[in-house]
Amino acid sequence: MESSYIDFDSLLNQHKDMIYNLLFRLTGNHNTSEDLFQETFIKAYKGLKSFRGESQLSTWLYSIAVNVFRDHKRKNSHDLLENSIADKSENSRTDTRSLNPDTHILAVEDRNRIQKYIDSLKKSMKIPLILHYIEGLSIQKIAEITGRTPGSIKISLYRARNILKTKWGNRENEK
Amino acid sequence: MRNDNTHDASLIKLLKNLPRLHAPSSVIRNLYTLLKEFESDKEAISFSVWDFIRFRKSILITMALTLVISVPLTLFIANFIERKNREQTIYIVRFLYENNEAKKVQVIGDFNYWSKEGFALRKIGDSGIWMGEIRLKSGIYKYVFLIDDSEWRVDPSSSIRVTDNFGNESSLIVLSDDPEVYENL
Repeated sequence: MESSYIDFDSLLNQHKDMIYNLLFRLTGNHNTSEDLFQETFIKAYKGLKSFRGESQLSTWLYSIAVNVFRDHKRKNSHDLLENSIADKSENSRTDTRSLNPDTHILAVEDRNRIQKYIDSLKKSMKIPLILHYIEGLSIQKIAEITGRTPGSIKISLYRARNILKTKWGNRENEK
Repeated sequence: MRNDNTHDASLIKLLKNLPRLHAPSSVIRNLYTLLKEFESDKEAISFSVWDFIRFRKSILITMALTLVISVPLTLFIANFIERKNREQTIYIVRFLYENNEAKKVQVIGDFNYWSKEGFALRKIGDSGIWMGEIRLKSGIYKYVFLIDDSEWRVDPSSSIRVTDNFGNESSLIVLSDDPEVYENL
């Protein structure tokens, strides 16, 4: 048990930000992200001994997080209020030390708006979009994580891009 | 087309430029608390599993002991009942009664709850002798002969007779191998 605890510590230290970022982009909500983050790592803790190294640890963790998110969406599909909860802003939790200098170009308002557009996507589009463009994973990896074919991932990415482009193009009309 | 690609590129840039968030330290602390709880729950569960095994073990021992005790006991009781039943002797009692005038003779008594539909005796030829046999368990029985469904007569050959509080006399038959029974008559 002790050895698995040490392994888990390093696993957590190496991947905690990656998983938290993914979950925040998926949920658009800090409180929910925190809950799902804990659930993801509890599952990882329980499953670490049976992890056979068939995939990278990061891929394995992404798979757990994506499944936790999917379960959460399934359980809360009726809860329309969820996304209206406050604390959707990423501003208070953003570690400015980690920001790419280009990030500053993106106004806070725009960041929140793009997150809102991501939130509005169906999860079949949202998950590949975040994993590919935000987390930087290959289509093959995403297919492995989501259990889908690379072709279906490409279609989802194409559709997600189109929706976001349309919404982004129409943002002036929203004001 | 080119315009579309440009839009794509700027959107992708937009997505890539979203700030990367860090897991708050409070979440990490909470996670470790949850893991500790999970570990203690696991110990509690394994303890209860061990308890359950021990509990099952005690159930098995109890069942085995019950079998060891109950099987011979059941056999003994069954044997005892069988022996008792065997000891419950069935007597074949033959009644004889002489009456030339009677058209019908029955024997009634304790054994048929004094019902008038008693055990009919049959007449043997023209001898005037009526005879019948009844199978009775051991015991003491009062009885009379019922002549033509109307007249009660005690058995003239019976050596023991009893009279009830109303003065009605009955014959008595004692069926037992126990001498003490006869002592108390």
